[in-house]
Amino acid sequence: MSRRNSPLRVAFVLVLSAIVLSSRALPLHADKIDTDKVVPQRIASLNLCTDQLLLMLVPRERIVSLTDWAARPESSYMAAAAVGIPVNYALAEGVLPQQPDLVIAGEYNDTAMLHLLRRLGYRVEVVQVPRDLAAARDFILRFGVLVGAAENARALVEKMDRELADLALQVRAIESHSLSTHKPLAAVYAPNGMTPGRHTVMTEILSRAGFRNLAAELGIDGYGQLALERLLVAQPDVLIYEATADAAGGGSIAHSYLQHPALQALSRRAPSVTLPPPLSECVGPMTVAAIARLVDTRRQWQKSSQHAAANNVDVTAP
Amino acid sequence: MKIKIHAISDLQLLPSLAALLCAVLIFALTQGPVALDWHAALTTPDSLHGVILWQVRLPRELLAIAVGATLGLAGAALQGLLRNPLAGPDLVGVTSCAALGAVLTLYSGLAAISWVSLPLGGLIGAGFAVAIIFLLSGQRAGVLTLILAGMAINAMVSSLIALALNFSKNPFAMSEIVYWLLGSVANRSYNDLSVTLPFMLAGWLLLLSSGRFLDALSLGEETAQSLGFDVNALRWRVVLGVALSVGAAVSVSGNIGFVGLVVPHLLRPWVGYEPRRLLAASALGGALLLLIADVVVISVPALREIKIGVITALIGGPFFLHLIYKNRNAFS
Amino acid sequence: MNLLQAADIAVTLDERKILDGVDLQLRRGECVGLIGPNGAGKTTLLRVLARLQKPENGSVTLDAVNIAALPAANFARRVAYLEQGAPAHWPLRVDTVVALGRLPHLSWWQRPEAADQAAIERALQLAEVDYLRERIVTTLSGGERLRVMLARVFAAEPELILADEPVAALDPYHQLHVMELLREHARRGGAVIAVLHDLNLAARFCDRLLLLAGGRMICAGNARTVLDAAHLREVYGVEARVLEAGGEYAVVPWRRAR
Repeated sequence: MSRRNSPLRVAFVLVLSAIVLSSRALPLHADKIDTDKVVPQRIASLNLCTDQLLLMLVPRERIVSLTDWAARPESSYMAAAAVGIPVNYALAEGVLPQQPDLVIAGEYNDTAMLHLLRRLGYRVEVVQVPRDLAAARDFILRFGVLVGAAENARALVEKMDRELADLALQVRAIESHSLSTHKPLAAVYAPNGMTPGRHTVMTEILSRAGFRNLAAELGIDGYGQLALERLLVAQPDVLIYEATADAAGGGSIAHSYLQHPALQALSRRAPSVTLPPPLSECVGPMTVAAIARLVDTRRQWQKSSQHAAANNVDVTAP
Repeated sequence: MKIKIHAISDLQLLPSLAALLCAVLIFALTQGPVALDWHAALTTPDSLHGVILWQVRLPRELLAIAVGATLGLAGAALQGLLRNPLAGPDLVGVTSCAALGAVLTLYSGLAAISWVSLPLGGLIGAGFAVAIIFLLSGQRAGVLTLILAGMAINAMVSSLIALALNFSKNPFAMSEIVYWLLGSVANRSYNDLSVTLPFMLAGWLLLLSSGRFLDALSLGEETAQSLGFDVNALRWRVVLGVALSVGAAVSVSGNIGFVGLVVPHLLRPWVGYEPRRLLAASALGGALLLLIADVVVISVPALREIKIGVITALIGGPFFLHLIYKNRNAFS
Repeated sequence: MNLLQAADIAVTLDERKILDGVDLQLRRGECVGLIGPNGAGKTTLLRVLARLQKPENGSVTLDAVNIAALPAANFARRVAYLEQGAPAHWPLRVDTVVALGRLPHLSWWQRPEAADQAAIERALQLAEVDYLRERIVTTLSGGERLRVMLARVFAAEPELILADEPVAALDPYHQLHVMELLREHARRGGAVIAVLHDLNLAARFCDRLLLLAGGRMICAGNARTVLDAAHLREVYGVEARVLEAGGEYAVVPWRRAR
């Protein structure tokens, strides 16, 4: 082989070594939570949902850093509690300065960064954030063990169970007063015409509050886009905007979806309620709060529809 | 390059295009995820199906027509002004600058202050881009200068749009870069149309009334001047017309590419390469192309609606490559 | 009375004096050749006369009216300019190009009428390009295209034609043809000023020659006075052989003088 081909050979060796090296990379997803470790004192979180759960379970002084979303009221249920805690922006450089003894990551964090943290000797636990309330109960208990707050976790789960049972009783009471067995249909509309369908926590929230979810019935799986005209044609009983009440800091095209005249005409007929994203972004106590809010809506709808029915009776009476 | 001319008179061409446009418009109104009850929709506009037809579908398609006409017309005018068949408003960076202007007003909250600020932002951006292109290309608009300048402007402005969206407090802003870079007329209402149409009409008037000047320019600037045209003033009239119409259009539709390049080029043989006749024909042709693209957007089932700029780029991209291939000797 | 009169024209571009105190008179019926070496200021002078260049000093009058005071369309109907190289940027049909000559006669809302159409037909005949009318201008030979552009100029029915190097890069046949067409325009009562490099064409077809050098008018007059050996040596820097036969005057530049 002539010397002219040597760059080709070097390139070949480089590519080959890259393949070999990458196959030696560390396995991730150590999903088994190790309970033998001592109670962590300096916890960092790289995920908005674990941020919030940490704030609920662990004394503040044991939390060394959270994502930048945790302290924002437009995304976090625990925004007030997070103020003042250092922000890591879910970046390695944001994590390192506080020298945490436990780093908690969600399944969507940058795996390269997690590898880096592990190589540097940090304990990184990747957790799978729950998507429904049953999973959330279980998750909170295991998470409590992981962060050394098992007692608090058990108390939190018990409180959730009590509140959910109470809400279920309320819904049953409302439904027993109802004249018909019609379960009201709710349409959820988020900026960009997005809507949560089957296998989203929103469907569970709605069903526990006594509503049917239009998107789920239309067969939308996960988050999907709902054409405005399909929403109009379905004639939902209530309209739920999953959005910040006002478009904070300037409008956006996504929000202009919610200002279409046809949609606003609909929300003048059907009652509408705004559910801020912090209530549905993660599953946990905030989910209970969301259900409580929609149970109120359910009650109001009951009143107004019965009122309307009564008026109709008056009109038809001689 | 072999030149084919199938010129037919304006009295045949324009009504044919208009009739085709009407036919496609009616077809577009029948398309949508909901099967429309036409009787109810046509007789009672306040009914559910009436609202879908008159409030959801019609304004969207009317906007597609207005935006398409603007892009076609602006393309024809720019190509006439720079005497260059590659001077589409998107290739030379006019549409992306308009998008930047709109983005800056929208996400800074200026758009909430007054309805004019959104189209105004768009047209300032567009005007800025046309002026730069114009100054760069100077007296002799070399193809290479033009395309390279456009490339630089587009790259720079795309990042500036991303930057502006990054700084927005709105959590949805960043995901909207897709909208601004690829364009969409989905879910637009009469509000968007009424806000921007006055600017577009003003721009159209300026461009359509520059036809004779563009004809004269085909013999060079000196000759145009000697034919009694105030070349400097009329050039700025075209620049203003493009800025007004494209700026307003892009501020509610995002950056829809290739319409302004493809349409004038396709129609040129039909008008005998006359820049003046190309204007009205390109306006109708642009409207037609964007309407057809929107019909495709509506009728292709997807989890999330396809952006209209994707369709126009998929039509226009290969076409542009073909154009380069055919003219490759002229560029080297 | 003079059709065109220029007095004391001065132009400075990029701090360089291009024209300096140039005077010029032109009567109806005259075909005048503007000659001089490269960089003499011929094109600039023509552009001043065509109102494409504002002179820094001096004035140009058309029938005793300052051209700067004339409305643009009015001036364009009376004075036509044939650009050097006569460019055409789109593959237009020949009759379409010739019709562009009528633009000074039309406001933007007016459509061409019968009178315009007649003028276009006449122009096609005059420039002898009638047979090319359906051809595409960018596919024509240089000589054909120049005649088409001349037809465009004729279509405007101007009094004065200003032509910048109309015969550059043409073969002898077409050079003669174009010069004949220009001279005929003058004979019909119009006037022509043409920038020329070919001294013999200038001598043969022009009634008067204007010799320009270094932005100054060196001399004006018939071929014999302007193209004498001394001028050729001083202005052009060439030794020339002069041929005089049967009243015709021709010069052949023979060798460099310096």
